[in-house]
Amino acid sequence: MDGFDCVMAHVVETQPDAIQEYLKRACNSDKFYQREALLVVFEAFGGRMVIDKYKVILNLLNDQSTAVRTRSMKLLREVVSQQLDGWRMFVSAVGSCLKSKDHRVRREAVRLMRCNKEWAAAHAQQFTNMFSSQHEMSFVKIQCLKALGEVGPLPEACVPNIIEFLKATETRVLAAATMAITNAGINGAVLVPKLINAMDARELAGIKRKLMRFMHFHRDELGDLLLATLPEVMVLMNNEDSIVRRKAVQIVGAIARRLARMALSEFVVQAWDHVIRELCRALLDKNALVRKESCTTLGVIGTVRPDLIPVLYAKMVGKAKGHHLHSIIIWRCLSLQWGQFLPLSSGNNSTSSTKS
Amino acid sequence: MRACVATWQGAIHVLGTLRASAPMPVQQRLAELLRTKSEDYRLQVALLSAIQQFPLEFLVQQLPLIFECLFSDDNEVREAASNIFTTRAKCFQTRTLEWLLAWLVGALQND
Repeated sequence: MDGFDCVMAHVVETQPDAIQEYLKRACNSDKFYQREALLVVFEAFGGRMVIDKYKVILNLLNDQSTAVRTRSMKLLREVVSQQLDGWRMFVSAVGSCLKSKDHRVRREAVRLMRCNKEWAAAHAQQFTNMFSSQHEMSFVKIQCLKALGEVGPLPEACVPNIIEFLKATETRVLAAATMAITNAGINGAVLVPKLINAMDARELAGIKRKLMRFMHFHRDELGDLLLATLPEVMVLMNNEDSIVRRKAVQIVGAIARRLARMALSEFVVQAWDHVIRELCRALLDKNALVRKESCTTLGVIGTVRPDLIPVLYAKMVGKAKGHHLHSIIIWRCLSLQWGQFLPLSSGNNSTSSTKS
Repeated sequence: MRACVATWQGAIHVLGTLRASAPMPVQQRLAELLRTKSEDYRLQVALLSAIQQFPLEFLVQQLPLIFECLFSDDNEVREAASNIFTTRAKCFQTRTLEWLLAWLVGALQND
């Protein structure tokens, strides 16, 4: 310890009251920027100091200045994320900030709560209400949406509001809303077909594509939730956008692989029926990439469920009537994948085995 | 002879580019300038920006002065001081807030 440090240590030891008094004065300064400056010091000293001086922070959380309150909550993010002992002392004060009249304070409060899942989950209903409220500001809603996506599946009640949100004309809001859904991972992915089907046909093509790519990315993680999306995904296979259709076909492929592993039941039989019908229809899509995807998917189905090949063949023949020419490549591809010769004649519904 | 503010600013800026390798005389001169608490906020901002990347020991010695600048009435001075606190946060975590406040308490009593 050098001379300077020794002097300081001596003052700390001998004049604790004077030091506290100084801190109090800085905390109660009539200039908001001086109170805010105190928070900069706390940031530099780290989370431990925040817990040690929790009374100062509690005071600043109830400050009259928006800048001070929001900065105090930013400071607390580190403390809450690291779950430092004593972080719960701030729960009540932050809860009050959630009811603040200033939207910046509310936004920061939600953002802070997101640092701890348990804390955010306890306010899920409040976030849903805030998100559904017509009077709430967009950026608070985005934080609420992010929080809801992080704590569990996004409530279906939010869907109409999410769609309204995605119609925002402001690019920043639109980008943030899409990000909020994508950040929710599988909780957001499961809602994608519903969202896209509820959107206007000629609107937001970019958003629809982004959402479809996002859902496709999460197709394996979705597990059984993917099966529940089947009816909506079927509708997407008729979407006016070729990329949406292509991704829908790929998702149907993932559903088919899942169905192949399931025991036979009424649901499974019906699901197969729908899947095969729609995929055969997609073989005649006007977009070559959609046709290619559906061909690949049908190939996979035939490989994992060889017993379904006659059914697939019959459907394909029925659908391909009058479209033989552009189906040749597809049929060749399927013949190779299934190891069976598929005659191109609609009159003959039987398949014959070949030695490949 | 008194130089104009722009000349001072330029000179301080050049010294600031020495960063962590600033020799002792330069550090002492800048510390001296910082202690004189120039009335001109532009000089204060230049000084605070220049010392931002100076050696850790130097910053710790000047910490109370930087702390004071953080409470300045001028927003540019506050921002420059705030930048030091946020970019060199690690320098300060070995000390306590009490240690920092002790300096100010001492300074107030001396006044």
